[in-house]
Amino acid sequence: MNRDAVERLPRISAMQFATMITSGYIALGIFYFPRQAISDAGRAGLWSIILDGFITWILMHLLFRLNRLVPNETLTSFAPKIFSKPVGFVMGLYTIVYNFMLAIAAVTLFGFVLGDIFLPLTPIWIIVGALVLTAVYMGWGGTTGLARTLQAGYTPVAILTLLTGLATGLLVRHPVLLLPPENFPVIPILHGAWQEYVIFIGFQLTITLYPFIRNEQRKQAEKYTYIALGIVIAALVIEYEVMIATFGPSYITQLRWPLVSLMRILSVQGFFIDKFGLLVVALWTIIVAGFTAVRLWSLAHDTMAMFRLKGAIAYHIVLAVSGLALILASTVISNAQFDEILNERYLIPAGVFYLVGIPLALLPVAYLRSTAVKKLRSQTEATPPPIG
Amino acid sequence: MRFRVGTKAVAVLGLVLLLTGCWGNLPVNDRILVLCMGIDPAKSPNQFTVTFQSPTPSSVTNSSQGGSTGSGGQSDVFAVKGTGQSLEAAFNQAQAKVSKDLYLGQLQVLVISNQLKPALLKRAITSLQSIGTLDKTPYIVVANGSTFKILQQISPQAKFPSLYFISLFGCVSCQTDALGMRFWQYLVRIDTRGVDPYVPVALPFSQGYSVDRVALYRGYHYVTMLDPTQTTTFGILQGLAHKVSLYVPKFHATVAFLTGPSLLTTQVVDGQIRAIFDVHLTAMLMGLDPHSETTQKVSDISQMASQILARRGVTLIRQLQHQDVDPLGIGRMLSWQHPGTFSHYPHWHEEYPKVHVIVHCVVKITDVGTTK
Repeated sequence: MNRDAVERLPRISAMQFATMITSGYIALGIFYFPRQAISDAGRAGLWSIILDGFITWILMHLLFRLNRLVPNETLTSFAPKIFSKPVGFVMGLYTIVYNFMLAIAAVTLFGFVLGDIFLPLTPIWIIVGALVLTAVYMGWGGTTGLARTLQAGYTPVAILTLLTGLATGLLVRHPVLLLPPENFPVIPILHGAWQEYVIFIGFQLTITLYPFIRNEQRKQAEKYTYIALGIVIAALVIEYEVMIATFGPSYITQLRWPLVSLMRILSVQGFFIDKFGLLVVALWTIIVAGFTAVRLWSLAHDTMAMFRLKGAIAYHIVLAVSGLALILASTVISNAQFDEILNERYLIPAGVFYLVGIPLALLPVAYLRSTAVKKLRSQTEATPPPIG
Repeated sequence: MRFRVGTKAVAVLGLVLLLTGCWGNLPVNDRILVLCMGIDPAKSPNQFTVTFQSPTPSSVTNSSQGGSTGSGGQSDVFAVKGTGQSLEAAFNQAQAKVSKDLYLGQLQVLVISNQLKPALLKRAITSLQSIGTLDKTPYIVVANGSTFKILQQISPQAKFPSLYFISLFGCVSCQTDALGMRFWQYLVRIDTRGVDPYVPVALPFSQGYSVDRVALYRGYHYVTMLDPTQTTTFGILQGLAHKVSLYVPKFHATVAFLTGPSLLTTQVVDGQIRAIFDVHLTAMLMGLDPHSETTQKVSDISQMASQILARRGVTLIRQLQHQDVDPLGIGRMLSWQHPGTFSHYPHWHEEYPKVHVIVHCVVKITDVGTTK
């Protein structure tokens, strides 16, 4: 029993965990939503969204099972111990590179959105630079500081976005399209679900963040994360319906960023900010900064675990270098079209492979090496909870 | 400790410098906010002339202080024109004529001439869509002939043309039919198979503008302009009617304030496409002598009004079918309700004239407006 292990990490509450995990997805795919699903399946794209949500729930469940094996260690720390060092190293490297790619795609995409709508004369790297610096600053205070910042910044913007999303219901022009589609073209629905999955990619943050939850709140944290996922799915379904009943399926396929287009036509006459939807789009900076901050945080922690670095100074150095690398790497992406190709061709397959592959590879091995896992758990936690 | 404070100060300063948007920032005083834009065909073929209209600084100041219109004979608006083969070329020419930055991000009304050739209109609309700062919410209006006449017209009701049209289209009960069409709604119709765009027509007259007609387009091709009676029928079939009135000669009575939804459904019966319009209107009965008013008579007037409106509806749709223009979106509804059937028609305009149309109209008189 290692008594020093009990409180060796800064701990976060169940709600903070759910907030961080939720801020770790959505931000990238929301801009394309629901174009890919509609392009593939037409009105039946609604089933693609629901299917994606269901798959995410299953994968989240599997990842939590994985986390419960050694709840006080990140995956990058314990994978080499139950697999082998080379395999664990590859897994850790994959996690780091993938987090980095996700962050590049998200900041560059939002740079293009802001540049297109608000700052046409500003170079994209300046917008990305500001965004990444904000993210680095958010993550500077460590896990608890980031969690509190997200609670204070991300949550209000997410709630405002949800409420604005409901207000966009006023734009509906074709109520007949609110009726659920009656056809189930299986292949197009599956293809749409695949293309649209970018919206959920990113919740694999759990494998790094889980050890930071307060021991007694782990179950509650999982519950809150599921509830947040439910809210996300419900919001997406509502917004899908509103968008399709406003623009019709054909026009949505012509739009680069459909949800941004919907927000931009939302105006509240007589309100002190007429173009209210535009304000919400501007506030999404916080959503994307939150997404980037948790990616950088994860990147820093995984890098430190992989190279056995410890201490606040090491964390700050890794965080700052990652941020700088992110700004430099984002300049490689020349336009929004390239960013989208990066998502479709590389990030979705790599993300799905990771999300499915990690639990499917680790859970059976952990079952076969249950003694080693038990030993590892007792070494890292004074009173480890039962597996399951 | 000092190092920490210094680091934070540098970080915050860096963010402030990057986030302010000062990069390329331009004070509003150095900008000409274009509120209205008119697009006309130019004298040279394959070119168009674009008019950029903006309020004068003094009129804006007077407006915010509650000043009156056109004091001292000065116009409240000024316009610059540019001509070119593209919107960008016309913009450049107009920009060369002014000392400030022409800014299109605040555009509120887009006026297009019905004389624009389809290729030119398409070119202009495509360019407008690519302006990132333009949020696609301006109203779109058609001018019968030159748009400049519309933009020059002074209305005593509003200081600038843009204010007039925003006030008109923003207030549903201020119109006979709610004909306002925002740019994004126009684009939706342009980009959706099975529906054609319609755009309200503004005709200048001595006291301002008359807006009681719609121009019909097949894609980017201007087809025709409906007369005011046809426009009200069109409004009823679209569920846009608000203050439409109908005189029933047999009873010397008027059914007024006709308003209500219209539901379009499509059916495929033995390979034949049917489009059914179910129109449910409420109305007020006006002009009937209260001494001769009976329940039976009100019911008869209601039935007769229903028949007249249904007949007008069928006549209008047949005319539209004959002209091969589908502003009511029969094809679009077919694509939503019977996607399999619609996908069999790669050229919807070949099938559209063959559609069997039925109009069910029910006028329910909810109030008798005659008081003495």
